[in-house]
Amino acid sequence: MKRAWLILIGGLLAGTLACGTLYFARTADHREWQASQTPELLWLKKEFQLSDAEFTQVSQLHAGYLPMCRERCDQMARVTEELKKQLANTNTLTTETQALLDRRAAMMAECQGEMLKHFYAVSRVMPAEQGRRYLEWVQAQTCLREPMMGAHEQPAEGRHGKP
Amino acid sequence: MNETPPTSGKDPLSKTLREWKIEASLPPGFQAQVWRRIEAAETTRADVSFGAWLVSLMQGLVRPKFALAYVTALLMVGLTLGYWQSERRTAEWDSAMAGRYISAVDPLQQTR
Repeated sequence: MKRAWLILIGGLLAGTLACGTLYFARTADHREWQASQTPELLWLKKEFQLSDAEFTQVSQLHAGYLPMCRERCDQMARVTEELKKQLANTNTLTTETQALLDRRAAMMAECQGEMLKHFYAVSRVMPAEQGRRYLEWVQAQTCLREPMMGAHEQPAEGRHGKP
Repeated sequence: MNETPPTSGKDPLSKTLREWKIEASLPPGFQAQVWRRIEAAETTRADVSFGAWLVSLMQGLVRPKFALAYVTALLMVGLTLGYWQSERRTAEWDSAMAGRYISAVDPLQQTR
């Protein structure tokens, strides 16, 4: 009977150990990413099968793009705040309001242009097929796919879906 | 082996059984007592079902083939659960990382 108990408990332990070992082995990469400062870039490396050299270049491009992007975003946030105040104080379209709308639209166009340039630069670093896939994905996920005038019938999709 | 059907008319045992008449009467409350016994036996069986199952499992585990099948089954269950859990978790993380990348590079998502 002692042997039977040993096998009973041993079997349960073996099953638990198998479950834990497989789980930890298959999530090892992801847990390593969590500890990194830029897990999203490590994800990009895996998702688009980048070599170490390609990953370094993509990381440099990313690091170069982000500060300028943030600066433009801050400027745009300031203009949006001004616009909100302007809209709260009037019930008619003033020249100031129109100027703010124009300024914000121009800034948005500039941001989108810079973002697109960054995406093209990143895609060129990637292997051709992955670069194409990356471009398709980012264009579908970012504000580049925001509905334009006359495209109201476009279905709204989730922003953060997988590529 | 005897191939003759037991109901054959020539079989003396069948003939005797057909002619046999029971004259004794059943004791009073016999039927109710039988049902009470059946009920009691079923209740006892339900009470010890897990215990009985454990005992039969323990008896089986002494046999090497049964023990091997038991350990293999638990290993398979463990591996399947581990695989399924890791798939679910990595898919969640992938989705979160994709969203994080887009949030970092998309000006519209930063200003909203």
